[in-house]
Amino acid sequence: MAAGLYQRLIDKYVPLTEATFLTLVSVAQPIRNMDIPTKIATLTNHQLQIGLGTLYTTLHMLTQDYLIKDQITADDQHIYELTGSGLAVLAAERDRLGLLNQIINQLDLPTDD
Amino acid sequence: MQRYRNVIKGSAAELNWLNAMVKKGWLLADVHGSRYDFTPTTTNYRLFTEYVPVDVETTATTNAVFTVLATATLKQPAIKVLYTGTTDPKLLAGIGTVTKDDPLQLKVALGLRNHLWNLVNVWTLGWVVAFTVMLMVLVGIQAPGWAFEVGPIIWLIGVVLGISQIVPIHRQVRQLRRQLQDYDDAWRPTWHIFLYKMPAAPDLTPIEDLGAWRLVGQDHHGTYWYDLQTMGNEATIREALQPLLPPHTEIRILSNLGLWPL
Repeated sequence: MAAGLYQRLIDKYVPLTEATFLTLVSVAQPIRNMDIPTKIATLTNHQLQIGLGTLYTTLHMLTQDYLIKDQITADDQHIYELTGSGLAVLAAERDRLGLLNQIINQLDLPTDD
Repeated sequence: MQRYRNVIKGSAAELNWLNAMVKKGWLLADVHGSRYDFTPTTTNYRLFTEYVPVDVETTATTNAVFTVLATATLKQPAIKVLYTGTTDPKLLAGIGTVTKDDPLQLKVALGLRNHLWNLVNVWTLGWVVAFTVMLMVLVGIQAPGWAFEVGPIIWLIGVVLGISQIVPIHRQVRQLRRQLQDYDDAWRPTWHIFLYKMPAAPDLTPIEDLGAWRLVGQDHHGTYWYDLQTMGNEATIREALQPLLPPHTEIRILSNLGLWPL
């Protein structure tokens, strides 16, 4: 039902770009914009980072489409938080990645150890 | 310290130069047109350049990872270039950074090339006016013959300097077009395509990306004439068209020079 309501956004965003994926995941809990790069570094075990310009652009785009909401505090801090539609898009991406993961795991590929 | 340089803003060439300047102890502080301002630094920075839409707020200058060093707003295309730096050890060590700028780089390069061409044109027009006035003065004072050669030499030097700036930018434009397969507004050979005995207008939607199609005309015998600007050749066009047309349709393709193929 929820997927049906949000289908337009799912069609627009899924498959997610790396920047959109990391931004959505990092704002799953309310977070100040200045803390997002640190959160991304933690989430990716310091393997990936989003350029600041790309982060600003992605936050702007996601806010416009109400996948995330932006609240400005009294001390002019931007707090970002995932919305229901953002959650639906992330869930659709999880299902897509789950299927791809299942397919790739059927191959006997060497590990990177 | 100030440096003037005509480079494509946001390009790898510009970024490499800015990072090389940091290694020499000069950190980017501001950008105005082709002027770059630097301040001395002893800290090791890694710089990034990214394109940002003009309506995106970039005023939050610092966070735990990045510092905004400068922004440059371009008119053609209307976009901001954001210059950031980091001292984060992991980023300095070169971990992957996600950006998505390539298609915009072509537009910025085209904007810079057009700007430089305009400067050369303005220089030439200005020279025509200045030379006319100079001729009147030189004739009036009965100047020696060599004085009349000074004006054209100055003009020629200006044009050669301008073109020497444009040529490297043009090379990068061509390289970016090939990488992105984006030939919008670029010169491409025009092919004249005639389709005979067509029961109705063909639906060319599936092969739109072959190039720029334009319906030139049609007649009551079912002939349709299209102009197609494409980098493809005759065989490619014929191969793409055939599955979309009824079996009895006759296709004739005129070469890009407007001659019948031999």
